[in-house]
Amino acid sequence: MLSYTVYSEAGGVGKTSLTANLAVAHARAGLKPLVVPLDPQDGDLSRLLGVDSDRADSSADNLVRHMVNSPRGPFEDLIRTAEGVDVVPEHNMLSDLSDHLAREQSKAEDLGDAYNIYAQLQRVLREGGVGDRYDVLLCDPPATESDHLYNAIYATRNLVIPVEPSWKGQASVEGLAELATNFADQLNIEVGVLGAIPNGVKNTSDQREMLADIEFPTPEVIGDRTSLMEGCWKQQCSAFRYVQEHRSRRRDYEVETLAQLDRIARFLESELGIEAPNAPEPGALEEPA
Amino acid sequence: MTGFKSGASDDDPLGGGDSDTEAEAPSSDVTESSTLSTSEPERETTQESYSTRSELPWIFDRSSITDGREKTVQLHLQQSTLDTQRRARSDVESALGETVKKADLREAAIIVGLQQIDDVTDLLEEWGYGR
Repeated sequence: MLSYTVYSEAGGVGKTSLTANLAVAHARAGLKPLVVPLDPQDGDLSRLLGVDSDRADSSADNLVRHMVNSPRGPFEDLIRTAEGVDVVPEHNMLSDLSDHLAREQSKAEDLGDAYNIYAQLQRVLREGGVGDRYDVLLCDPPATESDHLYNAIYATRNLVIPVEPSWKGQASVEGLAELATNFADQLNIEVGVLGAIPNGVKNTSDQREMLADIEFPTPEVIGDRTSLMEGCWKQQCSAFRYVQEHRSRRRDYEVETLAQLDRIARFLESELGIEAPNAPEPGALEEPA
Repeated sequence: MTGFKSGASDDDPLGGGDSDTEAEAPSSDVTESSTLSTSEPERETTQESYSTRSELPWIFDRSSITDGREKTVQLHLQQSTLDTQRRARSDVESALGETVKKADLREAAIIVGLQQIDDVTDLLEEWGYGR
């Protein structure tokens, strides 16, 4: 199974859009992806894919309840589907995840049991049979160092890093490497970086110089696609669906961005030796009606 | 095996069994995934490599960096080698006037390096081979 967490220290680098679009790119190639977004903010992946109807319903079963051993139903009942992608939708309870985990931990310690607060997402996904039922697992934690992030890394063991093409972005990639190293050593796991995805590049020479310095594989460099991504948020869909259904005419540079997303998905699959059964021509769409 | 590396983790977090098995790893190494074509890099070869099979030059003919590279191998590298690679990459890019993908740079370097057997032998002797 291919499992990865899309994470960058800086907000606003298109992390959530990238995650959702990569999930759709895996799905269009015939693989079964599961997305587990963990961002307590409203502008999150569940909103982008339109599966966030229950996020404020305090009686609704949700992932946090499962992570602290108080589920209200089976894990598979949490799952919603959009554009061929299964999602465990975000819930407002994610804001208090750390408090809930800390309470569970002290309960366990009172009983003399070992408890790893960072291993709870992995436990839920394992018990839910995710490893057998899905080909790809994608996590989208909030852009802060948090229990959400560490649970995501512990469950996926791999990172994909969207990078803002600036020296600040470059510095945050280096900081991230250090963070992941410390976490991996502390918990005795191995964390891999599958790749860095420079995003929003306008191709100035300074940006090119910065990109040449990235230590990790950079399968594609995505240009500035603000208007496309804004459109996706407005229509609550992936870039693939947006270009297919909401653009009156095809813009070559947007189709090229879709092709890049397809190619990044193929690259990540190949890193784990996974061959997608029906990989499309990169960027291929049905002709507009 | 623990730690942090460029390339895929060998952990299997959602696998059925014990996912946190310890593996021997020289912790001072930098581990990098890279892809290498299996075709033998020989100049006078009858077996054509992917990069010469088509009308178009390879980088224009492929749809991804892994096209024609059916083999993924791990390179365990010294930090100094990575530094050398970074310097060489910017020199090559200046000469060509465009960015060069790391996987392409590496495979080209390996192919050329394997054609300089004497230099390779010298370096291996420096490392202690053949004594």
